[in-house]
Amino acid sequence: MKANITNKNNMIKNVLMVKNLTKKFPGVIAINNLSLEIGHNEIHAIIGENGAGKSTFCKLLTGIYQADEGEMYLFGKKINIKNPADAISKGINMVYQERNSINFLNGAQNIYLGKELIANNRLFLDEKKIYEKACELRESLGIDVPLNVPLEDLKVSHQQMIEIIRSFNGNYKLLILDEPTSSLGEKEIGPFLDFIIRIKKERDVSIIFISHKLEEVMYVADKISVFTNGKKVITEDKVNLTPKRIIKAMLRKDLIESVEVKQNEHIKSKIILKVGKCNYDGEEHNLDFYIREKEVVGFYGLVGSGRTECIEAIYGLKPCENTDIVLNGEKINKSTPIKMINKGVILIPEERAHAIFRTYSLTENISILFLKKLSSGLLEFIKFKEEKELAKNVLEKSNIVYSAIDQEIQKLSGGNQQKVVIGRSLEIKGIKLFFMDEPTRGLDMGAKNDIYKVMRDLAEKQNKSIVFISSELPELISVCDRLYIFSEGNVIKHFTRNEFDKSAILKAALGGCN
Amino acid sequence: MKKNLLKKFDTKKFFGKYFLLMAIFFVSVFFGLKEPSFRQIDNILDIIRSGSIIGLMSIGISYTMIAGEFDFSIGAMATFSAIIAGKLLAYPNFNNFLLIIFITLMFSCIIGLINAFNVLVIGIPAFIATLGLSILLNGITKYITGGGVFYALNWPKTFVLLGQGMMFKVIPIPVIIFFLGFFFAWAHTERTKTGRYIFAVGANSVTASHVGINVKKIKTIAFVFSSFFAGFAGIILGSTLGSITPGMGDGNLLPAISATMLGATFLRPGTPNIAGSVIGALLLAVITNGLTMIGASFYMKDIIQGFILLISVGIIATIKEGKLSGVSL
Repeated sequence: MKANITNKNNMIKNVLMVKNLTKKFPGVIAINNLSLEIGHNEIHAIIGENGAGKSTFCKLLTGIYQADEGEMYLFGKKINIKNPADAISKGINMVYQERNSINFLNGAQNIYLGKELIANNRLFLDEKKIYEKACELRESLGIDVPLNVPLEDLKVSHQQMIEIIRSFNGNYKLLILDEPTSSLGEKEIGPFLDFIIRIKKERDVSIIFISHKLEEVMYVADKISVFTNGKKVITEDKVNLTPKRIIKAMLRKDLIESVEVKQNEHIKSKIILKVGKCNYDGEEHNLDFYIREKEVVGFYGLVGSGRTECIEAIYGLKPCENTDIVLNGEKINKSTPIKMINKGVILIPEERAHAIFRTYSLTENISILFLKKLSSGLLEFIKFKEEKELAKNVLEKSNIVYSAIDQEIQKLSGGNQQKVVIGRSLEIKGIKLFFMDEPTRGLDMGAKNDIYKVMRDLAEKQNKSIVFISSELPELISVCDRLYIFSEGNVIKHFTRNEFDKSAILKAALGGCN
Repeated sequence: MKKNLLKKFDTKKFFGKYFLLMAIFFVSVFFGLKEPSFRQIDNILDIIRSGSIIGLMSIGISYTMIAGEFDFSIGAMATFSAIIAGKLLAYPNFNNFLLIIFITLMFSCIIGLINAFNVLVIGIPAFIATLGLSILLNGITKYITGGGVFYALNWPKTFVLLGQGMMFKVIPIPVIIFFLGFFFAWAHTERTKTGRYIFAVGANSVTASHVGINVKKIKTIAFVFSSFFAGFAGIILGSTLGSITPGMGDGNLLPAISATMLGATFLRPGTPNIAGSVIGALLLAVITNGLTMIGASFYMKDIIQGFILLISVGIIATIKEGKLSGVSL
């Protein structure tokens, strides 16, 4: 009996408790033996680098993924969440990072989306009642947003608030906010955070607040957990934590085989690319960086810091005006991928799906870059024999394991696909500079190490330069000669190899918090 | 580092790849057994002749569908080119046949360029842009013909020769044109750089632009070839019928689309291709001809063709477990 009573007390204390949760994906352990308690009526912030397992954790809570091992308890009762609808019925609701509203419907209609009220005649929607009820809910939450205007005419922060109102349209006990401030402007963030705090005070609800912005987390949270490599490193009351300790906890243990880096040779080599201010996405961006011959330069920043956008603009994949790009001493005005490839620059995109034709053969995927050279005559017939030779050549040179050159490229492992993409680019005559956007994402450790070696090899033995974009600091630190830090679309800091210091770099990327 | 793996024979895959050929084979055997005159060489050539118009049109639309776009205007385009050729040939002092064919085909290409402009520069979805132009062209055709059947007594004999003539007294000229068109388009798409680029753009336009392919240029080429082949089909259609009716091209539009859809199941399931489209068109022609031969009711043709389209694409969809991106509109 006594045990039962303590159990009951526990029930009130803990809204959610997970025990030894594990979730594996091919090649990675996304969540590794994680235990966590979310207390009653608290804002529990989860912070961690990209890939630390924050979003996988949320997806386990909302039933998008199923855990491989471990248990979940909601109010002390063991639960098993099958899908998002199941999570909602159990009182867990998530506000996703991407807006999940319908733009042409007004606020009230969006709040009642999927729960529409039907008029007495059982035929039509009762728009009037929907609006009234939605307004009641808005009043009870004390939010001031218009609900009779189509969402597309509202500010982003107002759209966000409407999504939050929607998450209170029902009896939810646990609210998960995934990077809720990422789409908000500078001035909207403060009031929004205050709103979250007030909601928590007035309503009987616990909130999981996911973010990688330290400043926000320190402001809004009651408790903070730090995730690293799918593990929970610390959970503490905010009052007991300092930003310094959080940063230290966020740093991952080095899992990378040390890559041999020959130093200093490049320091005097000539600059092949120099970039200043550029206009794209309707803003001016301060991209002060240069790339020398024979060096690997890392671009580090958190998600949304504008690294990918920057190279896409330089590569000509998005319109870019008033550019200040100097390539090999020549000013580049309107760049297009074709122009850049001819000038010796190639981009290996973030999504591997953007680099390959999945259902096409190895041969076709390799030769697509060289069809001009491989075809002859007025109608440009492809010389199939030479095409195959070239494909074999590339595959041998890059040490790729394959069964036939006409097999579909999607049958290769991710690491080998990436090697094909890099290998074929090497065959382009005069290629000098690689932009590699997250080239190791989704690969297992062995394949990652292979790619690192390929990169150093390219720089040291083949005189190429590489821009290495990554969200994983350890790999950048072990492979790169220099590092540029991105934040909000701009280059904000620069480190050379001898200045590399994890905490300093992470601090710069997190921005503004001492 | 080649891994030596014994290739396992994959029945499912084999069935998917060659379903279309098997269908045409079994359907032909069925009709051949039931009606001996179906087997005669004359009849076989006649089948190919009747398939040539739909075949040429489906070659045209294959170009746009391979490139990941769609061209609804091929039907109206066929009528339009027939009326241009017919109208020009009716002028007594302007009857240089080859020159007029050339002018007509140039017109077709210009229509293709207009489609490309609407879709790629202005940004109207291909389905709507080509549908709009199709309606517009039909209107112009009706204006020129006055709404009725158009023919001219002073047409040179060569005009009807193209559709009704025979080579060596046995092979219908449309059959020869059809084969030439097929061979050109097949070699063009499967063997040349441009052809490879058209496939690449259709498979993944993002990747295509990443590897330095000018996506808009390639899609423009596809639209132009689509209209070109439709225009060619129109001239032959007018010549075969010996007169031009508004809407005659539209009658072949849906069969041409379904031939291409059938063709998308051939060899590379999910991707339209020229050889498949041609076989698809021939299958439809075999069914039409065979049903007439065995004296089936007039509605049977549509019922059977509809069935074959649903079943063949359905089989491929199940084999590929759901996604048939190339075949969807």
